[in-house]
Formats: sequence, structure tokens, C-alpha cells
Amino acid sequence: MAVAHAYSPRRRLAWLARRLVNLDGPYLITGPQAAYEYHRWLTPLENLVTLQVHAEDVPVWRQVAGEGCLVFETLPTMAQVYAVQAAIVLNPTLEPKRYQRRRVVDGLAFVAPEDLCLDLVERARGETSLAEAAAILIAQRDSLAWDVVLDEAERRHLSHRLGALLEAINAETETDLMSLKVIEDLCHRANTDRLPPEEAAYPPGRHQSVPPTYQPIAERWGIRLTLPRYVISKVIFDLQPQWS
Amino acid sequence: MEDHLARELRTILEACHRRGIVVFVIGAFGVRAYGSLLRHTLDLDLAVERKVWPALAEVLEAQGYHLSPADIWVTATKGDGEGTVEVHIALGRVTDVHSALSYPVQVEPGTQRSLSDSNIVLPVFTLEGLLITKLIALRDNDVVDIVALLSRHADRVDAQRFWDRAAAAALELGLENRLAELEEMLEGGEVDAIWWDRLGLMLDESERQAALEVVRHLQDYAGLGRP
Repeated sequence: MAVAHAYSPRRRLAWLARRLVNLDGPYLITGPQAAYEYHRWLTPLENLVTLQVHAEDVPVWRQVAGEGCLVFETLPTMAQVYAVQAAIVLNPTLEPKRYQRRRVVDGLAFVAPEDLCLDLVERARGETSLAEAAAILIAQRDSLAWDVVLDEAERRHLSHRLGALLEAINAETETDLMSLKVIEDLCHRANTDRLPPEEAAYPPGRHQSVPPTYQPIAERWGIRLTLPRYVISKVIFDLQPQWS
Repeated sequence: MEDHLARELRTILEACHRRGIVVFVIGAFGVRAYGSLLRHTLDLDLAVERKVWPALAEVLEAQGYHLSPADIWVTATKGDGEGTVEVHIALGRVTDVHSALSYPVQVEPGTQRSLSDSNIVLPVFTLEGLLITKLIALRDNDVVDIVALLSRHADRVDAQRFWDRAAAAALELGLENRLAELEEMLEGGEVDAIWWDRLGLMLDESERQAALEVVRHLQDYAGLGRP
């Protein structure tokens, strides 16, 4: 991985910080900007930020627009984002506990890495979300609040999917990079957690077969882990200086 | 961050130019040269013919890079920790390890393109060559790059050149299969899901349609041009 240190939120999101000066409502930076903050791996689009806000505050956040910045309340297209200097997407699903867990970096509030990991595990519709979840788990493994990860995974019925991802990371690194104690704890919780639909591929999409290496993992966690091996192995290769 | 990488790249390219070493910029910077500013990882990717590798190795070592050779590529690393700069060099062929399909560097004539956000001129693959290297891999990031390239340069993709390069690389059948796969993904909504998963954005219907038309044009051309 290269020169990530120079890409601080202070520089990367200076345009956002200037716009937030006069608004003091609760918000969290989520999505690719937050993911990059935690994994320093896959860069975000520089002029695009997703803000999670309370639903009742949306009218307030619309005021961030102006001077080349557009606020979207539904997902924009690439052409719409290219057409403006800066784009903010509002996600009106902020909850108090999530806000309490926020991380503040350079004066900007980011979704906690524990919540973001689970968001990515939950939303995965292709290779990227799980790759980013794996990247955050690897890069932040020593600083994550694992009790929060486990509790929230159970509450959100994500124990099986997260457990399979942790074991896939260990399989690809051929180490116990992800704590066996965490995996064991997750396994206990998964026993009482709701099982995802057995026939559904995870992540859903074009890949329909479980790689042989992941077959025992898939069976142990009761999901069809159809993620190609190159997804996690690419993350591991790129982040190798951080874990080897 | 990327300015630093661009400077590093410029230094390498200038040294190569002085020594007459033909090198191609592939990967994220290769795609950026065609105006697509998408999400990418922070490293540099180059491709060279095997015969010029010893000369490039000397250039990189003179600039402080440590070289870790593998079979089909070399990783050149400089610095440590978060300040590490990594350069991946494809030797002789750009290979997708997963499918074992590969595109020989020697069949690629290459072209020069400027990065839109800086004045650096990059020696890159032609649009058709770049599409071939993306198609043979067809991972999610490649799908996003291909759709962005096709929708942006729909009228510039030359089917004759595409299939000429494919023939020179003995990739006709592999690429026909990949194009069929991509067509199915574009028609069935899979590309929309991949696009959203990677970028957090909607894929515009006109962009999807433009990409689909080029894919079909390439398929039709292959069907007409081959016995």
C-alpha cells in the first residue's frame, strides 16, 4: 500500500468541513469516505460524501447545498456527481446509539468502524463491500471494540455472515489473524441467531459456486459463501505490510 | 496522496524515456488516462516486454526500489509502513491469474494520453487493449471500469482493432465468452448491483445502454468477421 498517510480527512474533506461549520446537528460520515478512513485501501470518490442524519433533521441538512455543492436524498448517478464540484448524499437513518459510537477525526464525525464493518457485511451485493469489510477488519483488528462487533452482529442477524468472513480471512492468510476467541464467541451466538436463507448465495450475484477452500467454512456457518478467493487475497496482498 | 504517486510515476517514466525503455502504465492510472476517476487502490501498475525488464529493473533499483520477482510480475517496493510505494510490473504478458488468460505486451502498440487532473503524459494501452485486459479478468472492479470506459468512449471503440489484437493474443474465444457474460450482466441488472456495491451510486440507464450497445457491436463484429 502506498502513501496513505498524506490523505488525512483534514485535506480530503476540507470542502465538507467548511460546509459543516454553521450546522451543529448530529451526523455521521459513512460509505466509502468512512471506509477509507479505516482501511486506507480503496480510495473514495473525492467529491462525494454520504451523511447519515436523523430523519427529522433532513430539512436542516438540505441547507448544506449551494456554491457548487448538491445535496441528494436518493442515490445519484456518476454523471450527476461528475457535474458538480461536491455532492452530499443524505441517508436519514441515524440512530442515537450509532451516533454515540462515532469516531471524531480532525473534527469530523465518522461512523464507528464496528458499525461500518457490519453495514458492509449486510449490504454486500458484489465483491467490493466484503473486500472493504475485510480490509477494515484487518487494518483495525487491534483497535476494534470486538464486544460491540459481536453484540451488534447478533442484534442485526449477521453472526453467520461475519463469522464466515473472519474465517475466510484466516484461511487466506494461513494465520489466526482474526482472533479464534472472537470466532468462537461468534459461533456460540450464531447457534441462536436466525440463519440466512440456505439456498441464497452470499454475496448475492453472479458467482454461484462455493470455492473449495471455503466449503468447510460455508458448512460451519450455514451459508453459501460464493465469494471468489481473489477478493480477500487481493486485500491481504495489498495490506500485507500492515499484518505480516 | 495521488499527487505523490503521480510524481513517483513521472520520475520512473522520465528515467525510462531517457534510456529508451518502452513501458506501459496499466491499472488505475491507465484507466484514469481515459478520464475515469473511479475508486482504486494506491499503487502503480506497469507492463513491459520481458526483453526490456533488465533495463527497467536497473532504473527502479537506482531509484531505491526493492524488487520481489514472481513468475509473471515483479513487485517493486520503496519506503516502509504507511509511506510505502508499491509498483507492480507485468512481465511480457498482462495475466489474469484466475482464468489464466493473458494479453502479450508485444501485440500492444500503445498510445500517449494525459491525465485530466495533471500535466503528466502517460504511455498507456490503446482503448481496445485496455478493454481486453479488463475483460479477461472481469472482476467487479474491472466490470465497473469497462462500463465507465464504454459509456464514455462508446464511439471510439474500434471493433476491427479490438479483434485484431484479440487474434494476435489468441484470445478470440475467451473474449467472446467474456463479452457474452458481460452482456448478460448488463441485461440482467447484475452490473447495476456491482456498480452500487463499489461506488454507492446508481448506474445511469443511458450509460448502461451505451455500454450494452458497444458490447453487442463487438459481438456482432466477431460473428460477421469470422468463418
